[in-house]
Amino acid sequence: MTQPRVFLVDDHELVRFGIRSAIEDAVDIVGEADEVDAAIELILERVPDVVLLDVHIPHGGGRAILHAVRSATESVRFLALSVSDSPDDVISTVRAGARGYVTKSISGGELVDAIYRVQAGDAVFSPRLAGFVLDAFARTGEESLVPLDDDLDQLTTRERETLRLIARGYPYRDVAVSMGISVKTVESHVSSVLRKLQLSNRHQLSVWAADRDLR
Amino acid sequence: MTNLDSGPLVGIPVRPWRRSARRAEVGGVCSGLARRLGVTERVVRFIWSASILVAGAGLVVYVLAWIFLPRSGENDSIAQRLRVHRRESKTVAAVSVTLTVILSLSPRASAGVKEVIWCCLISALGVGVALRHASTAERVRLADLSDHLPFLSAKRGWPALFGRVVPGVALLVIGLQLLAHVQGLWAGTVPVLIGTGVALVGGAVILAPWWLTTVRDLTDERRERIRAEERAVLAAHVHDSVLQTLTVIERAAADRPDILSLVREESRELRDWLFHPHQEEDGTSSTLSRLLRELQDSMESEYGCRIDVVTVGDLPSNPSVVALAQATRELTLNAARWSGASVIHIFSEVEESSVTVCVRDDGRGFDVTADVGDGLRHSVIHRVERLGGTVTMTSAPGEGTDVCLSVPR
Repeated sequence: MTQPRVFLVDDHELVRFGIRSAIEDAVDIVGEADEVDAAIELILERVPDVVLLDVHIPHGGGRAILHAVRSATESVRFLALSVSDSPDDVISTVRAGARGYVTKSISGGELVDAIYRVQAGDAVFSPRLAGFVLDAFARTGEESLVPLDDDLDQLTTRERETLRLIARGYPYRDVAVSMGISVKTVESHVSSVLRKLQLSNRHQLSVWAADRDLR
Repeated sequence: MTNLDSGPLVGIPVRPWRRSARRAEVGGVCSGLARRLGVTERVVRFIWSASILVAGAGLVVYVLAWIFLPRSGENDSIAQRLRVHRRESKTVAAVSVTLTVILSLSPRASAGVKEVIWCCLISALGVGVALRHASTAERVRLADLSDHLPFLSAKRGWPALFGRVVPGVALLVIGLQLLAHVQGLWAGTVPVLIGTGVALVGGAVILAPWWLTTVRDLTDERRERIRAEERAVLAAHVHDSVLQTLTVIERAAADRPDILSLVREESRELRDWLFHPHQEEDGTSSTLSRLLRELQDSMESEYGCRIDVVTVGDLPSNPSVVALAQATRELTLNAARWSGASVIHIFSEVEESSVTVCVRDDGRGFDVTADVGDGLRHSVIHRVERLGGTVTMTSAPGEGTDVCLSVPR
C-alpha cells in the first residue's frame, strides 16, 4: 500500500513539528500551512489524500478551510485534530465534513492508524467523540414531542453498542471481537453514525452547530 | 389542550373564541379574537385600543370578554367559576346592574368625561372579579405581568408608589379635564397647550421610574454581554496558545514523569477553567462526572499514567454516586499500580434506570477466577453489591483488564 499523502494545517510551528516527527516515517507529508487562505490554496493545488486539520486556526478556523475545500473537491478527506475538550468544537467540525476527530494527546502510532483509516474512507472516532455522540443522541424526554426522523435522528442498538465500546477505549479490532462481528462491520457502523452525525437535524446537534456559527 | 393555541384544527370548521394563554398581553382577549378571525394580533389590538377612546366602551367590552370567555386550555370561564360562589356572584350582579342603571339614566348633556369615569368603575369591578377567580395558571401569569407593569410593581415600596402615583394621576386628570372643557368652548390655543402640558407631566411622573429601570436593565445587560465576550476572546487565546504549547511539551517530555504530571495538571486546570467555568462557582453541588474528573486529577498527578475519562450524561451527587466513584477509584488505583498500562480508560454512562462505570486498561491483566484479592473484593465488589448493583470483570494474563460497575439509579 502506498503511503497516504498528508497535508498539515496548524498555526503552531511546534505542534506541526511534533506531529511531523511522529508520523513522517509512515506517511508522505506533502505540505504544511499555518493560516486559512494559504491552506485552502495549497490543499487545492496539491490535492492530498488526508488533511490533518487543527480546529482552532485564527481567521475563520478549521471549518472555513473545510467549507472552501469541500465545495471545490470531494476527494480530499479531513481528520480534525485539536486540544479542545468542548463538544461544540468537536461536533461542529465533524458536521462541517471532517471524517473524524482525534485529540492532540493521541500517540503517534494511533494517529498513523487514524490517517490510514480516513484515507480508506472510514470514520475515526476517538473515545471522546464517541462519548459526545452518545450524549447527543441520548433518548431524552424533552425531545419526545419533536417528531424524530427514524433513520437520521436515532442510533440503532448495534451502533450504540459500538460507540459505547469505542468510548471505553477499545480499538476497532477489540470492538469487533467483543461484539462478535468483523472489523469491516464495526467500520460500517461507525461510518453510518458519522453520516447521521452530519445529516441529522437533531435538536442538540443543531444547537451545538448554531452556537458556533454566532462567533 | 394547547392545540387550540397552535393553529387551525382539521375537522373544526369554526374555531371557538377563547382567550389566548400563550400570546396574551393582559387577558388574552385580543390575541384570541385575532386567532378566531384569522388576522394578525396587531390589527385587533390597534382597533380595540382605538375603541377604548370612544368614552371607554372598549375597556368595558374587554373586561366582559375577559370574564365570560374561557381561557385556552381551560373548561370554565371566570364567570362560570364565579357562579359557584353564590353570595359573591349576587353582590357582583347587584353592583354592576346598579352601575349600569345609573350610567344609562345619567343625562346626556353632561356626558363625555363622566361616562369615561363610569366605564372605568365598571371595568375596575370586572378586573377585580377576574383577578379573584382566574385559574392558578393565569394568576401566575398575571403576577408575572404585574412585576413588569410601569407602576404596579410590588418590588418598590408603597410609600414611594403613593408619593408618585397619586400626584401623577391627579395631574393627568386635571390636564384631561382642562382639555375636555376647552374642547367644548373651542377658545384659543393657550388653554389647549396648558392642558396638554399638565397631562404630559402627569404621565411622565407616573412612568419615569419604569423608564429609568428599563434603561438601567439595558445597560446592565450590555455590560454583561461585553464581559462575556471579553472572556470568550481571552479563553480562545489561552486555548490557542498555552494549551497547544502544553500539549507539545507533554509530547516531548514522554520520558520525564515529573514534568509530565506537572504539564498534565496545568493543562487540565486550564481546560476546566475554559470549558467548565461554572463548576467552581456553584462549589457545593457535585456530580458524577465531576467526581470522576477529580479522580483523574489525583491519579494522574500521583501515578503519572494517562487517564482518559469519557462521560455520557450526568447525575447530581448522592450517596450511591459517591460510593460508585469510590469503587471506581479503587479500580483505577489497582490499574495504575499493577497493570503497567500507559493509559487507563474510564467511561461512565447515565441511563434512565441505571448508572454504569467501566474502567479499562490494556496492561498485564490477571486471572479473574483465581486472583481476585480481598482488597478488590471488599472495596469494589461488596460496595457495589450493597447498592444493588453488579460487577462484571473481564481479564486474562496479558490481555488487559476491563471492569464494569452497574448500579440502579
